[in-house]
Amino acid sequence: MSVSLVLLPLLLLLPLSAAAACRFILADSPRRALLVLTAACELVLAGATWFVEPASFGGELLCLDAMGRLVLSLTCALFFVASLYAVAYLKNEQPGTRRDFYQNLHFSNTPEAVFTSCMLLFLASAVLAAATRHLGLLWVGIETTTVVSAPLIYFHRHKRSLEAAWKYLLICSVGIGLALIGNLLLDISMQSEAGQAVDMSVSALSANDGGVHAGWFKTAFVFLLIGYGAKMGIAPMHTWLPDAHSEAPSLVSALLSGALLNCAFLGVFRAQEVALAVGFAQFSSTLLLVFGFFSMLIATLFIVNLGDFKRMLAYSSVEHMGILFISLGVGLAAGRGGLLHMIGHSLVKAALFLLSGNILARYHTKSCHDVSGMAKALPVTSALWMSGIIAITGTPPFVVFISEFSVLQGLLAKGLFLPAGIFLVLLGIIFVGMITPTLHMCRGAIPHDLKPAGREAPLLVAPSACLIFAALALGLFLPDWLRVALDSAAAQAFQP
Amino acid sequence: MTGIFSDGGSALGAALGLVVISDFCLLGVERRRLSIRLIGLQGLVLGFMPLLVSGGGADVHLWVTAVVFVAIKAGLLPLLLWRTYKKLPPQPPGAFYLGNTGSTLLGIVAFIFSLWLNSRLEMAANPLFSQIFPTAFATIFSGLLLIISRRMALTQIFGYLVMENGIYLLSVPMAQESAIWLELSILMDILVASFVMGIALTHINRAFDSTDVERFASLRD
Amino acid sequence: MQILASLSGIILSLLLAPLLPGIINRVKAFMGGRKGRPLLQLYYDLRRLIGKSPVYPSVTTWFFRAAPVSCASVSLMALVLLPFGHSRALLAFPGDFVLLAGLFCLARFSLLLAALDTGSAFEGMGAAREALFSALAEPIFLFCLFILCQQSQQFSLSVLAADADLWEEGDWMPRLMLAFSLFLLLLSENSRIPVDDPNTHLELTMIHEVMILDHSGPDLAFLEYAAALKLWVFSLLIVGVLLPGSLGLSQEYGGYFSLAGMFFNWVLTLAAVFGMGVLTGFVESLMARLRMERIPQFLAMAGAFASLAALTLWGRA
Repeated sequence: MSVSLVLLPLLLLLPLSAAAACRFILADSPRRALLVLTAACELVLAGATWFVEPASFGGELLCLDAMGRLVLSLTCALFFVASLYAVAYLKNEQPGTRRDFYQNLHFSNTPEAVFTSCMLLFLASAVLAAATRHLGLLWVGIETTTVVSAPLIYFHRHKRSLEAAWKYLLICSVGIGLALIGNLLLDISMQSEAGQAVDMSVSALSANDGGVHAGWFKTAFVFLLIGYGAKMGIAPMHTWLPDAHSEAPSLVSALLSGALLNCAFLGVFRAQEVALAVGFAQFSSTLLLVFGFFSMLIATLFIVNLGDFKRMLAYSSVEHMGILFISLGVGLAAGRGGLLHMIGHSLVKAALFLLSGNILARYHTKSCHDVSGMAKALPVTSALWMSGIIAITGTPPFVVFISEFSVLQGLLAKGLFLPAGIFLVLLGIIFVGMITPTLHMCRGAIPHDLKPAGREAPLLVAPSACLIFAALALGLFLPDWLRVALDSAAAQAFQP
Repeated sequence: MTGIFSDGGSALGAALGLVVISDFCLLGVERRRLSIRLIGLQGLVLGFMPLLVSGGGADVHLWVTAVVFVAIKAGLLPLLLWRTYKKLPPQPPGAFYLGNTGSTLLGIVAFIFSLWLNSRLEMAANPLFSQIFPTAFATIFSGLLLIISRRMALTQIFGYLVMENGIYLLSVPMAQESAIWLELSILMDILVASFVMGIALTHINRAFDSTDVERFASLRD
Repeated sequence: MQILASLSGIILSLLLAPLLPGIINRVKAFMGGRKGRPLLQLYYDLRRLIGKSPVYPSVTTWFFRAAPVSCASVSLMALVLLPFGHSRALLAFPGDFVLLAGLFCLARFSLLLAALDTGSAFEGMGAAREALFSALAEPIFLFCLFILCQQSQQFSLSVLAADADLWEEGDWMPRLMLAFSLFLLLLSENSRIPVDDPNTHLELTMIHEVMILDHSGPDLAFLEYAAALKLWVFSLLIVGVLLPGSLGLSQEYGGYFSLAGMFFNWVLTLAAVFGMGVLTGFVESLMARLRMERIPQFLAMAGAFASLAALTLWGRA
């Protein structure tokens, strides 16, 4: 019993106190050890939530439901993997001022202590966002992820990363501000009919069936969608995403893509949960589908012939967020596909971003055209990169294929034949657009100014290998407990 | 004997008037030093909002809230902005996409729109809402306008803060006694956000020798 | 009794008007950490100037001599038209606000002619600037007065006074906007700091001071006194916009026409007018002078606030 009581507070307080401790640890190695240790503890705690039902606090202020547990576990798992990578990554960073290989300007790093504590704070805020069903607190959690991840993006303080961080901060803060307006309007839509104050927790809002002002509710939903959608990188608010993901250190990009986007998706998910409960699912689903397809379209247009492999991954994130929107819009017809897709995308995309860091460190370029012969220069990375790209483009037997297939099934089952066709065509174009540069990168001859084989540090490749293996395993075999968890989470917000 | 501000209604009206005046002054002002002062003034007025809307029933709880809000909105935030401002180079003239008069005019159009919208809305539950709505809308809009129309990064932070002030104003009629902690955590978030923005700005200034967002052009597709 | 109240207001204004620039100066000095010149400096100046004999440039005509007289008499006339606090003006009729605006135009016209009459390049420059900025400010001023006066059916400035039922409950938004717009006009029309610097002696940047450069002796005294009165009139106008909310205050003193009520009205109004002076000094020490090309934008702000006031009134209706 006592375990269930302390579970959620511990999950929140552990990274917070570790972040505070980071500022006082002067030496690098104990700090890195603390990072890994905290990540491991969080992973264990997140695992424990599957066995022990954690107690709620303050109604739904701190409360873990099926969806929250899914996002929480995913975040903790990715964070653990990223922290392992971080140890090797930070070891390779030289201190002091050095030259930027792209614009040849001097720059220095953010102090490692600040970087580490920001990472831990990021984890804490992501946990907060996952472990609440109160819309106000959810907003606070998601906004905090924005604020604390901005310093992560400009870890290398050069012009491009600062520019990216500024765009990220401004666009996401303003977007999140719009989501706050959405929250308030949601409250108004309930209050104006109920004639009294309504608690902002999802259950209280959902229980208020019938007593909803339609106009206000629709406006509120649009604001929420645009606000959290901006944070998710849904087109046309996606402009910060390629910049931030391509300029951040690779492990930060992995966290942004794998964990942060899911947290933002949680905001939309909760909004849809309320919409479903109060009977506006038809309206909200249409909006979700429109935004989802638009994001896929934009991603497709940009991804072809992009010439920058990190930006390519970023636009692929835009595409997959679009698919998530579509699956949420389709509803239960897509089965558990939508949430499975969230998991699959997080695993594979995080792995790919981590690998892109290896490539960047070896080739000193982000251009697809200048990278070649990876199979010889970075054999392990090359193999993983190839399989990762194959996985993310939705090729069997990886999990992304299964989830995209069920989304397609859902579209067909709903009778949306034209959208289903468009869906397939866009996926096909993206497949070609991503595979072509990948083949060029992996095959061919090594550039003559590069020394041939070098040993790859195990900590730099093992994390991605684990993630891609997990994606493969989930594609081949979906364990029963996960099936149940996905179904119960999907039942919350996916319209029947 | 009744005081000059005898009832809460007229005090609220005066406070809202001050907020609108500071909005439009922010749109019309070019000097950032004055903008920071105006944001401080706006924060001061907004900080007392919970007291004004409570309608006379001012207990200790509300006073503490008001003091904390004023301390953050009119004290800490302007101080942060001021420290950042001190570190930045002087602003070149003409650093905007839309001039002061143009943005003021747009602000007036937005205000007309919000008045029109307010007359169209039926808000049965909360009469306070219809009094505050036009001001909140105008504040949010002028914040967004500041972000869009100005080229200096610092002014964009001003815009962000003004927008958040507007959102805060929108939440005032709905504020429940129990939701004070939420308001406070939102405020802390905004405080930290502007802190991080300020730090990012000093780094940007060091790297670019300018905080003109026009220079942010290296990341394109 | 009512006439007595109005007359006493005019006499008080005439006596105390030169105090207002003194207050502004002291506030500015205080904000700048200085001691500042004496509060009654303008009185001393006026007495000194009255005692001197005037010197007229040889090229000037009677235009030059007419300006001080017309300025001073216009300011006096404005006092007659404007209610003092809660007591009606001595002269009130429908449309008197147009006369008020017109009187200020007349004063400005004569001042411009006098400045041009000297044939000096500097004074001509000052006159040109004054003409430009006043051309922008005057319509806004008239607009503000119109908004104010259309509040009642009488279309008279005396609607500001206590007996007119001017504002509805909770009308603070339009009132503040109107007052703010008038305040911006006060700054620009009385050559205060964001527009013109009364203390500057660099001819290239001056507006008002440069126009009266050639006046001397009693003429200059009249001009200075007229300027102080104009500042007083504007402050009184703003106080009139802001004050009606406190009607209830003086009921228990037996209305405004008893001696106690009259006295109360004096104290309240004077305190508010001097408060305006403090506010002006405060704003002047916080702001810097605007570039010349920014002044039209400054006036545009005044226009914007006037139209906002009109809008909020319209939105309420």
